[in-house]
Amino acid sequence: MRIFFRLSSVFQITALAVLFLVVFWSQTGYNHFFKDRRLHYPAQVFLAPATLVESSSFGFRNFLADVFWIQSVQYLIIEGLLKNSFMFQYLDIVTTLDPRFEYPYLFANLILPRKGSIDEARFLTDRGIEAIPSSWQIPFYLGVQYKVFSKDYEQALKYMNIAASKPGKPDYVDSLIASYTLRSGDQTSARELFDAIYKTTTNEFIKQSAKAWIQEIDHIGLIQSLVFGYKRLYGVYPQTIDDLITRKLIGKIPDDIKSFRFIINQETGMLIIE
Amino acid sequence: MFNRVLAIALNTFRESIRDRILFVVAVFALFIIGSSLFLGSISLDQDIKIIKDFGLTAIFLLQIFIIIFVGANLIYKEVERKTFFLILSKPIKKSEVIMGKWLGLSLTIFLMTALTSLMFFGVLFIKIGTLNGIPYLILAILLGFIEATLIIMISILFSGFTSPILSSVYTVSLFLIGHSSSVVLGIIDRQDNVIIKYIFSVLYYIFPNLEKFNIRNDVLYNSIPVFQTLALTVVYALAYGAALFLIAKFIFDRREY
Amino acid sequence: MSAIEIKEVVKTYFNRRDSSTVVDKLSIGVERGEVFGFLGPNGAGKTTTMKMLVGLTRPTSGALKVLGEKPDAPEVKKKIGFMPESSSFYLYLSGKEFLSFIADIFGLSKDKKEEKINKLLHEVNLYEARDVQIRKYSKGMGQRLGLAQALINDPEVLFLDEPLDGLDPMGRAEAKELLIKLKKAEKTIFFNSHILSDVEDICDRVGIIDKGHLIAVGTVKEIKGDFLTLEEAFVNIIKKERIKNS
Repeated sequence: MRIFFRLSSVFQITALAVLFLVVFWSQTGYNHFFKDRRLHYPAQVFLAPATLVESSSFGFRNFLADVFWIQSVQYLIIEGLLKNSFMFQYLDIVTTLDPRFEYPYLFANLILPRKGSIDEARFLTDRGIEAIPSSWQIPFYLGVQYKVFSKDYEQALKYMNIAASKPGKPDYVDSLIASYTLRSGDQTSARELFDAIYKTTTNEFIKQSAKAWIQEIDHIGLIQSLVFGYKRLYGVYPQTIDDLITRKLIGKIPDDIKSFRFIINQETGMLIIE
Repeated sequence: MFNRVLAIALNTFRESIRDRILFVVAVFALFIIGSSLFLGSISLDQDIKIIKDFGLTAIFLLQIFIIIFVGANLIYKEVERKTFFLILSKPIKKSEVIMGKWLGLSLTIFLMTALTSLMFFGVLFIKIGTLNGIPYLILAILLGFIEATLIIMISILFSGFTSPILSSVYTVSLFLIGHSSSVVLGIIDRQDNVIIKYIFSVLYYIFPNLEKFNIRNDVLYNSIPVFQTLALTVVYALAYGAALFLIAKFIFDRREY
Repeated sequence: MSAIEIKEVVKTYFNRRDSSTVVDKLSIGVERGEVFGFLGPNGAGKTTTMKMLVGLTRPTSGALKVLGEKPDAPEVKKKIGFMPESSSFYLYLSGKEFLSFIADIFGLSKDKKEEKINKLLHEVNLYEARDVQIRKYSKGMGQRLGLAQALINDPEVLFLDEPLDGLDPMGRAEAKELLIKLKKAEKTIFFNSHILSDVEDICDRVGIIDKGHLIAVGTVKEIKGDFLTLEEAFVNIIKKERIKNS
């Protein structure tokens, strides 16, 4: 040690500079590796469960709800859409602390299904429906997401119907319910629904829209009966709709259902609309 | 008697208003209100809610901090500086001193609350342009103030027999316990053992239940509790406060100086 | 009726582990208009005795009477003045505000209050500093303020704990002058001190206490005996007593 202090100051300064360079180099190298990791795995490893946060809120529930809400918005930008992120936990905390805070429920319905966890969205939505009975948006958003992401028309219809029962819901909720009913295969109910909309709505656009839907359903019905007719004639169900044209049972597919993709169940002959 | 209580109250008020800590706490509260403007802008359009929440919380925190920092020292400093001996050698009763101290600190907190509330309403008015909803906010702040006066009495009680640090610790603990009543209820419900259940139930009633003074959640959604609950809350405050006063009087009477 | 009666008073403090007897079978009488000096080394029990005399604490056994009543009776407290040892006050108040506060406790009317406070401030030479915050007062100024507050209610009996402590020679002279003036006005003064030269000048009688016991009482002349100064006599008496007890 004593020898080190005896050496000239120039050497000491050089040594210090070299050490600093090594520090700098090793830190940037570490950051470089760390950056790659961050893209794949969430860096945040701990978030207290909602019940714990609630028990430690000590009269500051609203305030903490807001704080966590702001945090969750920031978190979304950084890593909220990654597979194992804490997005749900954040929103769970916010809605536990302040169940009547509407926006997080909507936010959850918009974000969570996208990263693959629509069940988590449903968990929060159920809480929201109970806490904010007047909100049609909360069940509505979830209904739409069920249709878009999981094509689960049963759940979509369930939540759309809840939305329809709320005051202040927009007119097109009924139309959506009718169209989901159609997509779920229940053409009769769908036609009835559209008929009811046609008769009751005051919105001209929706009226025309319902009329068009009814026509579509009638055309689908026509195709369905043609499929059964085909079976009676040839003993099997047609493979595709085009077979009906080739066998001259119908001239062409009506325009309004041309874009629908029909699958014919070879055992029952029922039309399934994609 | 009233004049003597008032004399102590005004003296306490004067003494605590001039305490520098008040300035620090007020700046802190205003900082929270100010930051709510910034945070509101990154909250996806929840800014009104953020401003209201932060404002109410800032005012409440201001009250609590003043009680903890100023209140704990109130009695202790007096005993330490022997001004307590001075006062008690005059024709005044210990209960009058306690009442006076409580009144004085309550006045201080009332003034600070009023000032910060005005700033808060000002910020809110600038943001939303109407005075809608402010009466509800005032009610929430008022209930918080009543809670604060209870905590003042608690703080005075503790400062009568422990050092300021311990007194602050006890006061804060009682505050936290007071806001955890729902947790205690949960424990009681889940208990099978009758004895433990009984003990916890007794504790539940002895410790102050402070959540009833918290209507900050409700006023944000423009709903307030029914009149009966509010009336019961006030009755609770009066009764519990009087009980605390009697306990404090008992402690002070027995203490040797 | 004598101004102060202390009869066989014992004061014991009980702690968690032990007890200590601070005052042991003390008996003293002080007549009206007397100036009585209570002397003793530090820790002898002077301050404790004074606390009992102003009603701050009760004796473990024995009785004290001030103006014929128990010291903690409110009627007595209206007629006495008390100046605690090394007075420190509400630092953020001004001298005038502090005296006003004390006056409010006594319930003095507004005009009487104003008049009295100003008079007192002049008497203790604090009138110029009346609006200055107490935390800026020197030790001497603090002592003088302490004396002033003890006189707000025109007391018949004054209890002063080390009134001359920390005063410079000028301050001591002024304070002594004030005390002599009060004596001429036939006030009874009971004070603790260990500045014995001053005691010599003002007191009619003195009592000497050590380790809670009264070991000598009498006129200044009597106590001095053959010694030149009271201080020498005091030291001697204490030494003799301690040897006797060891």
